[in-house]
Amino acid sequence: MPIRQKLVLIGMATTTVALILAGIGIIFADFLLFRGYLRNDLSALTRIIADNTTAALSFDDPAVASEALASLHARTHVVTACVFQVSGKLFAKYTRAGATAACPAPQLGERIRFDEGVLIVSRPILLNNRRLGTLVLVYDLGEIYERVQLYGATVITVFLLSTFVAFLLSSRLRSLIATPIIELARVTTRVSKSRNYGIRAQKFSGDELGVLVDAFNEMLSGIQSRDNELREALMTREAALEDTQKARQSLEATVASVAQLNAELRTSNDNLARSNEDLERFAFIASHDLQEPLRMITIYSQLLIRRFANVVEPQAAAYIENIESGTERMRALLADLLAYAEIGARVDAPAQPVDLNLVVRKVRENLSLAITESGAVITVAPLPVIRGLKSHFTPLFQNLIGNAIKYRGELPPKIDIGATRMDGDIQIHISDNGIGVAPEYHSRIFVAFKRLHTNKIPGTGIGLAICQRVVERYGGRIWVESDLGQGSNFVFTLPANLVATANGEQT
Amino acid sequence: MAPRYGTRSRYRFSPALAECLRRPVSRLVLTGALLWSQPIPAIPAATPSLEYGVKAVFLLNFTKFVDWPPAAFPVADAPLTICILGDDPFGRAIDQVVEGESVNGHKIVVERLRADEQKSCQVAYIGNNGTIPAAFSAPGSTVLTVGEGDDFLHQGGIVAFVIDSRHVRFDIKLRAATNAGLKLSAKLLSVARSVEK
Repeated sequence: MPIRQKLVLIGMATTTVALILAGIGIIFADFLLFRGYLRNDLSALTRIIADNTTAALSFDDPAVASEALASLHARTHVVTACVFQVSGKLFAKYTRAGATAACPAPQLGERIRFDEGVLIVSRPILLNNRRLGTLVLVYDLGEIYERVQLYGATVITVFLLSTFVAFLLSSRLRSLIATPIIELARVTTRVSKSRNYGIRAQKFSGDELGVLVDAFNEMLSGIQSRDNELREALMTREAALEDTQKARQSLEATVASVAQLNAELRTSNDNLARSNEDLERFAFIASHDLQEPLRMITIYSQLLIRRFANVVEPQAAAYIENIESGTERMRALLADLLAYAEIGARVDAPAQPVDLNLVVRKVRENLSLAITESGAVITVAPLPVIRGLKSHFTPLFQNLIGNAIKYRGELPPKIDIGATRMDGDIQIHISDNGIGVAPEYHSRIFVAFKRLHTNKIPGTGIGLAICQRVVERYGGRIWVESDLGQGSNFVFTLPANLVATANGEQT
Repeated sequence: MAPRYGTRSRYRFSPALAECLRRPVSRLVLTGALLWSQPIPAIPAATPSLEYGVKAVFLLNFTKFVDWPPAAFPVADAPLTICILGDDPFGRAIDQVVEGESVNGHKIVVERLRADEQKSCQVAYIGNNGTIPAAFSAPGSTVLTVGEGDDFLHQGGIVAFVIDSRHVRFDIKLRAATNAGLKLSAKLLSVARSVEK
């Protein structure tokens, strides 16, 4: 059922029920009220009539009593009225024209009772509180029923009229409510069909329906803006996705190229390591195998000098001596080269505790001639015990201490050796008061065969390279702090986890 | 004799009373019973007549339809005296009628006076051959004078018994009542045979 018809139905039903209830209520109330009114009215009426008959009864004049009763003819609903004497004998009577009713027997007190469509009033006639007789009056209740009928007719008429008017009115008034709702329903249908959230409902009034329309429109704009946001977000996301895909593709390409580079690097690294190994093996073998022919040259040049010293000319003897010194230098060179190669070589021997204090003592013994000659003073602070190979640390200290003596200045060398703990490392220094190293050569001196003093001071040019190799093998670093004429301070570090005991002297 | 209601019958006897009056003396008992709630005891045989029995009742009833001014009584609760001047035609009947009766707080008593006797009365019955004492007819006397026949009113009386169609009725002279300072009830006037201004 459409809302228009429902509204009309509601209006009509409400009106009808209200009217019927009101009609019933009015009729019922009037019935009760009128009965009460009638009771009072008849009580007053009979009191007057009774009073008017006292003289007639006192002076035995029924005609006067009848006259008093006859005045009742103005009350058309009085059927009959009788005056009885105290004895119960009828004294006077009035009967409505055309009526043939007999008077009911008188009652002692004042009584009003309803009886089969009539009201019977019985009232004592008193004079000075003395009872002279009784008035009995019969009143027909046709009046009540007439009234009820009249009211009923009125109510029905009013009901029909007001129903008609209510129908007309509600037909007009329903548009007040139905039109906005129908508009709203129409808009809702359109929105849900078209998914167009830009449509707005028309507002007809400022009441709750208006509020509803406003709320609906607000909701629509909310949905619209969210829809737009959603669409934008979707687009942004798609763009971002595209970017991401592109980035991923380029990343994948990069990763692939990096992997390729890595592979290439690994390959070249492997090649490099192999060639390096080959080279070192070659150097080792070469330096080792070269010693034998070198020794032959040395032995035979010495034999030449010893056996034929008198025979050869002094000039030739000098040449032979040059040969001998040359081979001697070559031997030393080969020995160092061999030592350098050995340090780089793999060693299967397990690491052992190496007391650096003992190493330094051994080195001092080795260099005792040079120390004595130079008058060097060496001070050694207690050094730690390191886990490693003694064959590695002896060349390290011997080269550094030997350099300190070799490159001394005017004064006898003062050499200071000590160890300090720095963060996770053991830092060991060997400082001297020698000629020093210019800063631009600080890194160059550790490269093999790079010698600063080519001719003045003998040397193979491998010593510091051996030192660097040993330190780096154990995971440390080596550098020099020095300037020309300021003495040198060679420092190297070793990882602290190599330390077996902090101080070997004490064990 | 069927009653004819709704017709004017002022000058006729009511059927009930007419019947009673036609009957012997003993019937008065019935009449009394009809009129009063308390039955009147049997009247002795020496009673003069039925007529005076009715008149005795009327005398009493007059007191109920007449207003005496307070000045009519020496004290507030003084008895209301019905005086019978001269000859007494009622005998014991009137004594029995007023026995135990009172009006507005005044006990009703009967006094019998000689014709020339002066006494305080509220009702004075002056029988045949009697004259109204000057004191009773004087203005403001507050005495309801009751007598017999048409002449009584001419003498200055207020109420006069008459016999009409064998029924006891009465006439009233209103001016005399007013003159005496009495107020007669309209109801009383309505049952009088005739009311003279």
